[in-house]
Amino acid sequence: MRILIVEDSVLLREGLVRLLEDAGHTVVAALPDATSLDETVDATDPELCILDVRLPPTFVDEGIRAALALRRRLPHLPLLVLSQYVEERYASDLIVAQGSAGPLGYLLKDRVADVSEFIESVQRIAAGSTVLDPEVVAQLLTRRNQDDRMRSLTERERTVLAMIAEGRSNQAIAGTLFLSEASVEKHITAIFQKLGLEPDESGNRRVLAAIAHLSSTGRGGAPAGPTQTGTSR
Amino acid sequence: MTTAPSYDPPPASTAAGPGAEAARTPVRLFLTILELAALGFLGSGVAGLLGGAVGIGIGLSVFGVGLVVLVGLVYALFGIGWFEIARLNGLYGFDLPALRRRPRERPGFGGWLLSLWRQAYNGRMWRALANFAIACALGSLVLRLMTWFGWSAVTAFAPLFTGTDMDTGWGTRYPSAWAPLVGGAGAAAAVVGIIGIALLHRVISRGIVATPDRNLDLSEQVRTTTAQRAGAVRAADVERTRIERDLHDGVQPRLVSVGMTLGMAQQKIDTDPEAAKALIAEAHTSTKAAITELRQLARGIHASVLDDRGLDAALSALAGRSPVPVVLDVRLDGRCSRDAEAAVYFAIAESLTNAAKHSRASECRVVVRVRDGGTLWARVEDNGVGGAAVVPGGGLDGIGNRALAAGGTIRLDSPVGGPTSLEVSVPCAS
Repeated sequence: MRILIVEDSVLLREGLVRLLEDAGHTVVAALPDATSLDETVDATDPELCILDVRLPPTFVDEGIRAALALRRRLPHLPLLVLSQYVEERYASDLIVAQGSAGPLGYLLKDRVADVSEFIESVQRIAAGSTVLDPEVVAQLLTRRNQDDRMRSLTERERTVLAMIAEGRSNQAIAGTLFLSEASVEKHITAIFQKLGLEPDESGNRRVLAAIAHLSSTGRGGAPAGPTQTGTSR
Repeated sequence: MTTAPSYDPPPASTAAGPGAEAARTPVRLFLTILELAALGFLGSGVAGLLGGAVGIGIGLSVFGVGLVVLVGLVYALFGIGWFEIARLNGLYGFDLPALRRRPRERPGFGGWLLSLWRQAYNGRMWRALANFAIACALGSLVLRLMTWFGWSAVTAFAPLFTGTDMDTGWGTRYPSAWAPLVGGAGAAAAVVGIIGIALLHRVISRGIVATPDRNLDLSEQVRTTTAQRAGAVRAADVERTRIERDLHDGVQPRLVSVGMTLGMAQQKIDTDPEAAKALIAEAHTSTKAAITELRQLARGIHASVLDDRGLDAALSALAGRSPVPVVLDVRLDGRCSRDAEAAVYFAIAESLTNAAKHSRASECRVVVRVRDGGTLWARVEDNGVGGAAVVPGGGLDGIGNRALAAGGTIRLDSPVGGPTSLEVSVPCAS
């Protein structure tokens, strides 16, 4: 796979290059900041773009802004945003901006240390999944917990929802929770019903969009009306 | 200036609004006259006593007894000044700060004498005293006019009981038929005079006592700023100590152990590859834990999302990470100053940490609002066992100092048996 990296720390950048090339991928470019990102993307035509959130010159959210700009310009380019800290608000921005167009990843930098899992996440994102860090999923769910639709979920359904949002397959969820795949599917159907979503194959991104949507319709005792996610493709 | 009020602002910023004034004018006028009359009655006595005290004090100062009298005099003057300001506040609703005794700046007898000396120099006290003296003088005038009013009233009804010519009091006489006219005019003049004096008293009082005292304002500001700075310094100190401890007790030993484990793995890799593998796996796990610890430590020092997206966004990570489930109820329109947001963020973070560590709570609730007058306000409640107390250098002390540094306050309510609630209020634009 052809991968482009934007990471300001030399150590991490070189580490990522080594790790990805070791796993058989090609790093087409490794940039220290996002200033020449557009030209480089056009010139190298990557299949996946890995961006750090904090980049020069201000080290605040350049990576998020670069990702949003890239998403607008090339909606189907898979993006993986790495961050020192994961913030629900950044994730919401990315999810809302993408609708359900392109695959997206948002992970803690720490996850790189689990090499095989990280490589697997990279491959899943490139293949079209959306992968969110468990920490950001926890934040997203905490912020939506006061929504009536979220409250109607059972504890087990909530766990399943969190795992869907992290981008795990039904099979993986079944394995982790010691359930049969059929009962996982039953839970998913219930979740989709309660959140007002139409069940379909691409559950992962639709669930994320719904979670992000709950936030935009107000926090605290949010209206319990039907969701208007408008994310069906 | 489209938002300028249509009426002229009152001359003294501390005076009551024009609306309240209009409503209560007749009552207030009556009260003023009564008070002036009372002061006119007592004033000369008080002045005599004070004058006597000054004379005796100075006269006997060589014997030491006089000094005691002079000290008493300072206290008496302070008392009168305090009374005068309280009286004006009560009468006119001036809302002046009460006269306060000088805080003792140095310990011991010398410090007491110094504060007494400073007290004797207090400009506000002397202005209140001047106003008191003037009020007494005006009061005695009021008393005279009242007497005049009485005589005029009697004169007006003179024809009823006497037929002889009347004495003007200045050696001339006039026919008793004119008496009602003379008496009525006299009484009217007395009433006008009394009311005039009462109004004059208000104008004088406002001019003397109720003008904003620049020095006072400045010294008040200095006091506040000093307290804020002290809070900031203490907070930074506590914070530094905590960071040092966290690094020293947490991350550093972990990295040392990683180093040791890898060293052992290196020794064993040829002789016992399986054991080496296990050691490397152990080092890997330990490294990841160190990374997590370091990340949380760093985010605790400064949450960059706080600057970037504001308090509401920054609270997500706190709530998401808290081992005790957190219900966030945040309603904020717009942003507050960096200091205010940081102080409130810190208070919430620390409270949630405390709740997780000590309270044995099963739920926390965080409410954040901007309250009237632009105050950023937050309350963190848990349903735990309570009994939290502020310990110097502890977490709650840190919260208090951070809030103080941002010009705010905290309120802790944590009875033994629970629940605990902590409120923090910080000026939004500090």
